[in-house]
Amino acid sequence: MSGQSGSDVLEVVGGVLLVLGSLFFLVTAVGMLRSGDAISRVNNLSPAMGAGMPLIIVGAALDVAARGELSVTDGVLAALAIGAALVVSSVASNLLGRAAYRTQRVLDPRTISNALGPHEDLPEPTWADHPDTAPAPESQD
Amino acid sequence: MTVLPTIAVVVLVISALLGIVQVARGPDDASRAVCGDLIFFCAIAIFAVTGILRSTSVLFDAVLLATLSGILATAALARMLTRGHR
Repeated sequence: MSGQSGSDVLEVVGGVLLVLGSLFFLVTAVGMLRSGDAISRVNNLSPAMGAGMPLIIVGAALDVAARGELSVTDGVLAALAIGAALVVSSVASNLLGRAAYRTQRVLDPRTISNALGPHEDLPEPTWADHPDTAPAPESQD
Repeated sequence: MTVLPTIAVVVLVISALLGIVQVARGPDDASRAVCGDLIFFCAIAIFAVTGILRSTSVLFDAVLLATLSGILATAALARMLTRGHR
């Protein structure tokens, strides 16, 4: 009887983790709609890949374990999938962020600082559409 | 006890639909590439949740393979966006 209630607890915890992970995906999708330029959207992908995907994999593993069907191989595969999600998200964000910065015409005027500005020439003037928000020229040291 | 996974699937489908909306209205190609990435990982998550609802045996194998190969499409799109330059 105690084993039965333990598996029930596992199933509920797994389901809650699944819903939490899916909410991270929803937050990412809403952020995509709200952000102003491509590089902000690359940034917005992080919650889905860094938090949503691991939560969903852990929730799925707990749900399978609640039914007593989680083998050792499946547990190792789930752990590998979580690690792969983290590594893939960081590498993909780097690749896509560099490509997005190089191809976009204008930055979101809400962007606070631009560390790539001195090193990368954009195809067209970055601040052309938002001349009022152009950064002040740096002081000469 | 399938209520919570069903809610998760519904939320994930809504996220994928919002991603499709963003692909349709995305002002530049980079935004579309990022949203394609989001839709791909939404699809993996939907597969994982429906996999436990239908108790398939290849759940974690498919999730691991899809997660590992997800970077291929992203790298290809990033290279295409820059017209072949690194």
